[in-house]
Amino acid sequence: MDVPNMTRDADAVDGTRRSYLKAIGTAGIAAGLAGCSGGGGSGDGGGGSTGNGDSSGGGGDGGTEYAAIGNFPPEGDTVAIGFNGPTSGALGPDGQDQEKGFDLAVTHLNDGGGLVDYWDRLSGGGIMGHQIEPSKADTAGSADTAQDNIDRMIQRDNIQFWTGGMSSTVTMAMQNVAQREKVPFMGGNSTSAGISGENCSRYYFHPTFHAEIIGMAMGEAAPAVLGEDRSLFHIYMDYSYGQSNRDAARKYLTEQGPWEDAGGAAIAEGETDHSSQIQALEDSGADTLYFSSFGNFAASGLAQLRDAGLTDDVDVIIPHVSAFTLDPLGADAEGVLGMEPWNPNADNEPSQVFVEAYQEEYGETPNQSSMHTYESMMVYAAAVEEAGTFHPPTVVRTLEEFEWSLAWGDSAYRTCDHQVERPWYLVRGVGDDRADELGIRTEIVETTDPLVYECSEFPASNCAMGDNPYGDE
Amino acid sequence: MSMDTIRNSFDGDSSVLSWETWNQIKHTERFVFLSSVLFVLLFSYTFGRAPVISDVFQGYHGLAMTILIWSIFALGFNLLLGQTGLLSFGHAMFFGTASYAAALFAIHVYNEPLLVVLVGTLAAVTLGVVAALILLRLHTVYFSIVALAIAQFLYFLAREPLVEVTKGINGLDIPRAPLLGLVELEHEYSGLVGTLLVNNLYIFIGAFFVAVVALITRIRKSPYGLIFKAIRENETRTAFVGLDVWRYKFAAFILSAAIVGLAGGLMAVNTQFAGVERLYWSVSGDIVVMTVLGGLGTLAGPVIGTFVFFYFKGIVNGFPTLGNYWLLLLALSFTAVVWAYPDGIWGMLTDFTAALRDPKELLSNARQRISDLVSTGGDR
Repeated sequence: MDVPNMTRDADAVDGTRRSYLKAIGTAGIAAGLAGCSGGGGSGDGGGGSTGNGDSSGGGGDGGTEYAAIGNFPPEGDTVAIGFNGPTSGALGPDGQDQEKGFDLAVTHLNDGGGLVDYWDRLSGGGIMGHQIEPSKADTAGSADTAQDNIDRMIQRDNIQFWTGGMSSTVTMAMQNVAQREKVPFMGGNSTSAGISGENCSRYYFHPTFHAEIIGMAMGEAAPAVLGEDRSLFHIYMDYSYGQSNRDAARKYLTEQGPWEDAGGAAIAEGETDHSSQIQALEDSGADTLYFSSFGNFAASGLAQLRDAGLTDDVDVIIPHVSAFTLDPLGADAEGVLGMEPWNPNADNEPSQVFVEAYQEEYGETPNQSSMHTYESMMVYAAAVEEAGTFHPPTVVRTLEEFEWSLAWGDSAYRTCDHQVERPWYLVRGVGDDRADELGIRTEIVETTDPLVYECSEFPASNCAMGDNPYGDE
Repeated sequence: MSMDTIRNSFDGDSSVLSWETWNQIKHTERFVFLSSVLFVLLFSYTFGRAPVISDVFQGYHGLAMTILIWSIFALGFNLLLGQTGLLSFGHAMFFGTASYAAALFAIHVYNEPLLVVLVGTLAAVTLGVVAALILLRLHTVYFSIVALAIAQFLYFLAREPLVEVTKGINGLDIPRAPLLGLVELEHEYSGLVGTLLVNNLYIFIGAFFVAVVALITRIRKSPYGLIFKAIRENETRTAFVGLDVWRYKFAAFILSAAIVGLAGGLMAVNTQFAGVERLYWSVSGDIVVMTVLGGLGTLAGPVIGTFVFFYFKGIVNGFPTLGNYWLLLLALSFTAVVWAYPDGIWGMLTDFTAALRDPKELLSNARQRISDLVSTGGDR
């Protein structure tokens, strides 16, 4: 029984050996050691057989120039790219939009269209001539599920890059996986400052803002819009997301800014009835509310504020607002302020190119979530084209130096923490008529300059990027 | 699954071996032990890399390891529910606590996988003692709900007040360390060992799996295990016989906690991560689903249930279009299986193989079933 298995195995070298190599969870560490210690002998063997497998396909991709590392090199003339986002659960709506953006990016990169046609760095014939094969999975917002998913994509589907994700927990767990497996990853909407701080990773690039940046941007934009004479009350979700947004707002709006602090009330995990917090808000006499909540939770909280009759007297700020948070409120969303990393009415040409392509495909206006995965794919593809190889350390180095200007505006990833630097948008919720006109329930009030904080400042100061090797040193 | 593999190799000689001999063999501890070894040997390969079969399953090595660990979890849970009849809705407390204990020990004290797993197990046992003192005074739904409450209490505790220790929702990251300071868990083999087992991590997990199966078989075959069963069937009568019911329930509870804790510790080693979601109530719910789906009170049932659950979670999840409905599909299959076969998938298989021995009865049963279905269909 074993003998035929053995021969079959020999035939199936490509499918099996390759997966062993992947199965070495810390392929990077193994490969890193392989060069200098005898212990890596089997790792080298695996690498050798992948090289053989490659010669049957698109060997021209430079497999000879660069040693195999992580999932590199891709097999044949296709390249697998993963999407690992929450398409079900509390963050489902954003996850599904991310997936749409990802799908559209795959179509455009393979066959042309959208920003691929607009951007001369991309050709529309795949990435470096490799057609993209998407590999997708639903994390349901769980880090353990995300881990199984990414195991599948890395071991079975041989992905060279992946995107997607919402919850900071999952993103942080995946940052570590990306580093271990040496597969580059760009996330989604996660806004925990630790992602670009203590948990930073060489193989992860953060395409959006985080609590600290939101606070900075708010500090710059909100007093200009609402006036300097304001008293600010906080209602926040009582864990890192809510706390870090509250702290950042306190720092930039009240401590360093012109506003008065009127105290705050925490929402315990799982608590959906906000009446006690709303009462505390009323008692405080504050005229502005910093509501550190998100997604469906924020939507429900806003509805409760409205029902308590407070939305008329109190201006509400949601640090990271998305259109689907405001949609359930309908006309009552009018006036709610928040920061968005992107808005379909962003004043640049690539944004409009993307919006048109997206509307043509799905018959609806895209939002920040679809934009994140879409532009992440564009940037990765362009970096590969620029580097001339899929070789992960080389692509990562290229991304660290990369500057581009698409729908995100003038953008660059910083080498010190892999945080993107680009403009952000202070937006305001709009009434029904205006929403029909805009195609989305948020309207840009102000565009901030690309925000820069020094690499020596929090949270970048907590990022020890040097401890995260490229893997081929 | 493992049983089937063995059975097939016997099939050729079935004319020589009578059904009676087979019935004797299949219940021996040695047979169960060898089956579990064979299962571990063939599982990852069949699931993830074998030609044809693995293309049907679309499995992968990482998921094979996850399934083995969760099977240990389900086996430990089943010891309490299937064997002793205590339904806990809070077993995530042992899984999550062990995971955290393992991670914290690895990070702050000493990082050696065997020791780390042991610490996780011990932490679960300690928690088990405390929880048992509270829970075993309660019966039926009160037992289940208070177990859930304790688990949720720990979840909130780990998430917020202990954030400095547990890193809250961000979780703990554990570096990979060699076994006993010598054996690299990531080391991958070539040749036959490599084909079947791939790496040391799989062997590490597989060894624990076999040990747990052996331990549980031992318990099931022992007089001690029979008393568990007696408690399940009728607690009052067991007490009347003169047995200290509380003591046996306590023992079952601690054993269950230890095995689940072992799974939690292994999970931390395998994923190099420990997070708060392993304490969450949905984990407690998932394990009930896996155990009931596979077959309550059996040995193979929890393993099969775990496999099916993760097949949906890890593989159907990735199917184009269909993937987004994996939870719905899982729920439908669960309902369908439990509706038709209350004894779960394993009950379905044993029914079927028993019927195979008597084709006439199978035929008449099938007729009966179909006519039942038609008539109930008509009623609606």
